[in-house]
Amino acid sequence: MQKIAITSGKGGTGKSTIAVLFANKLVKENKKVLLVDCDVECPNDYLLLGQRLKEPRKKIYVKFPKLNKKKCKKCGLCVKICRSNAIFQAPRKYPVFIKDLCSACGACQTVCPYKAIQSRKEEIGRIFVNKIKKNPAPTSGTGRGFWLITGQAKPKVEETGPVVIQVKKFALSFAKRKKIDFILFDTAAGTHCPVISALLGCDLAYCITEPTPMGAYDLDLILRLCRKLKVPTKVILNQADLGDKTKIEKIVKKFKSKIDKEIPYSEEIVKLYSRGKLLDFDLV
Amino acid sequence: MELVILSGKGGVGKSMLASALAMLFAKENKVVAIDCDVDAPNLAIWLG
Repeated sequence: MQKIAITSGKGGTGKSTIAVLFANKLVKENKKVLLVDCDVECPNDYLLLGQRLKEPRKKIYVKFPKLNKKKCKKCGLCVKICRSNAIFQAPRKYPVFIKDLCSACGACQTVCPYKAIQSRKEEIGRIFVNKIKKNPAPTSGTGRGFWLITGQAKPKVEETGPVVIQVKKFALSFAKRKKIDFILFDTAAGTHCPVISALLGCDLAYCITEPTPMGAYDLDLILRLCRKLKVPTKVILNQADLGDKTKIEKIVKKFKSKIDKEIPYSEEIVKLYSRGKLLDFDLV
Repeated sequence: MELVILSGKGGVGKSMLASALAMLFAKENKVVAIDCDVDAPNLAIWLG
């Protein structure tokens, strides 16, 4: 099973579009494909595929600590162990847990000698599974479909990396059960925690960019991140004929990556995209 | 006055609008433009 990430530093470069088209191409080659939308803060792949998110297949929880004042002896061990500085204790007072800082690691519960810290389950996200039925295009090969797994973080969840990790875990065991050949992870934009969580362990990352100064700057960032995470990269240049490619080419060379594909600007694609109708497009 | 420019979706024109507003307001006011997109900041490029 090949694990491929579709990522980009910059937003709006065409990650989801290309992920959908790529999935479609692989299906036509008779591969078993699973597309995983890891952009958990704004998942859009299901919209591009004309789907709706109905009942979640799974809910994602974290366990936040909760103090049992009857058992607490105010020893302060939990304060010392907390790496996130999420526990505050004034002299001779009960410790206070600051949820926004807490990473729900559970260290405070483990270390408490009086078992005074219990946990409180809280939902941070949901996982949806859609079966994308056969390709609607008359030119499609086998007509076999593929699977879409969508991760969705609850709004206001500050740290969405753990949501992505859970979505990936679910997707990997799903892929094993269904004997999937290609698993595509569509990541969020940027280089922050949820992007890192999505990239980790992938065999290849397609970095989507555009020939603009902003595209170039953000490509540099994402290629640097991939190098750090030891994920091999290929670059896809979207709207390749609209701007100046020289900067992009320089950066690609610097990181010893390569431009795998150049997609020209196309009014037709933009129109299909704006109507959420991409499946029948044969491009990548 | 504090203005926030934000969006859920990427690539819709946040930085472009922010830089345009900054230039516009700077004609008659003192303006500070702050790029909070800390993991892929582009506002400096937009402002030349």
